Amino acid sequence: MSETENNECETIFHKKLKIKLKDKGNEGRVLFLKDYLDFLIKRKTTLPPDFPTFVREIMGLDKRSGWIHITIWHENSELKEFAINKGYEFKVEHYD
Amino acid sequence: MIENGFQIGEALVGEFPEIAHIDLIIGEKKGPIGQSFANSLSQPRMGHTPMLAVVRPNLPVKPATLIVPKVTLRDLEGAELMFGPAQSAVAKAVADSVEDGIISKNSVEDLAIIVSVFVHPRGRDYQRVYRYNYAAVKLALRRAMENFPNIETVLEEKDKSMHDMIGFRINNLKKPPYLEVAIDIPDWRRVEGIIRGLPRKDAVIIEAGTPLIKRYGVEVCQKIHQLRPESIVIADLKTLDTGNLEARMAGDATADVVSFSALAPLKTQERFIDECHKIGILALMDTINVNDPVKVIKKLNSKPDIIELHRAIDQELTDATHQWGNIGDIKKACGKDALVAVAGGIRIPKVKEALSAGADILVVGRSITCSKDVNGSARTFLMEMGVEEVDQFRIMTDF
Repeated sequence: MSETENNECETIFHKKLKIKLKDKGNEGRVLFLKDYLDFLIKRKTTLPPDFPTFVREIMGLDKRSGWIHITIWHENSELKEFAINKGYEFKVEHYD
Repeated sequence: MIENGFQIGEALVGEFPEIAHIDLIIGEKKGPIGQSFANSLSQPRMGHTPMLAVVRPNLPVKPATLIVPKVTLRDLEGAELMFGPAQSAVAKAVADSVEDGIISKNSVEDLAIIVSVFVHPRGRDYQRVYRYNYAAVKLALRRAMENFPNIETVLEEKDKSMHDMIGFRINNLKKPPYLEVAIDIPDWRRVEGIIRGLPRKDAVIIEAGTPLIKRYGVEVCQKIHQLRPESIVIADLKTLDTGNLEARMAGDATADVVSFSALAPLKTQERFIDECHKIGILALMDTINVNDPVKVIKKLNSKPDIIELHRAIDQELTDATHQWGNIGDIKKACGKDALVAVAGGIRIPKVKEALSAGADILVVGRSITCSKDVNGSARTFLMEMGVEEVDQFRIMTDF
């Protein structure tokens, strides 16, 4: 199945993207954000419009055994592409 | 037969990396071409040394042909490609064009040709470089002599064709009906999901709704284009003041269409429309809460490209009637090929009714965006509308 077909088949409903930070504490979160910016710059895409909210979210999220939970609405979100690209351990949980 | 001193031809043939792109001019030695030929040959530039096309060493082709490399020749490999297969291909194509009667044999001493040749620095295969450049020069010469393309072809193709190097077609809404998916949800990650789920169809337009823009700014249009470069993106600003400023802001953020409110002062509306046209985007008039849009349109010196008959979301909840009774009058008042969009409570059973009333664009919001099966919902609308892709059934190489 092509990427386009894959995109079109996906249900649009909230899912949880769980990403394991590479480092503990705030350092881990800052490294995560640095990696994210690096990913965007190298892909030559602009910041997502919700970036300020996203930064607040990341800095304020509880860590559950080193994992942070981010809500996404499509399996192939840019955040999942980032996790793959930067070698983060991740999983996506569906609720629909 | 050369008209007005010289004629121009262009052709692109082959595949990367040996792809050949030829621009050429053919004209009389006594005219500007002869002068350019002499100037170019006597003033070589580093990396772009002009050279005569030769059938083999010591045998230049007729009409006299000057090759100008487009890409700077930086090393011996590049120079060998240009001075070997490319140069030879140009000469052979010119000679064969004379033999085939494309160029009259009687005029070869009176004419000169300047050929600008592109050889990709990563090209390696001599066979391909030769064949592609031969074909491209011959095609460009034929086109030059036949005055290809005529203006009708240009006007027809400008709305259909896709430039290889940008990879997407600039849609300018010349083939209605269209489905405008209005995204009013002010949550970017959900919006990203909706956009990824939408069918990749020429008939689908994406509207960055007012709440979305109010939350994230007009830059959201650029991000939508990064996800869907081929889609028309509408910035639903509903501008009421500083028309030219807001139109420019949205245009700079890559919006293709920008909306203003028909409730705005006439001067604001006109400045908005003029600014849109200045920067090559379309102006959409939103008629929310306007009783007589025709009256407003008639007063405007500059006319909008799209008029949206719009019932407010808040009003939809209590009022089931629609407002698309006078589409014919609206189009007449615009005095050109204006499109009419209808918005507010469009559901599948209303699609045919809206289209038969003359609507060109159906604006659908939550019926699609709040569906878990965004793709399926959008496709149901498209099927009901009976739309097909631009150029879907054409098999095309070149002309």
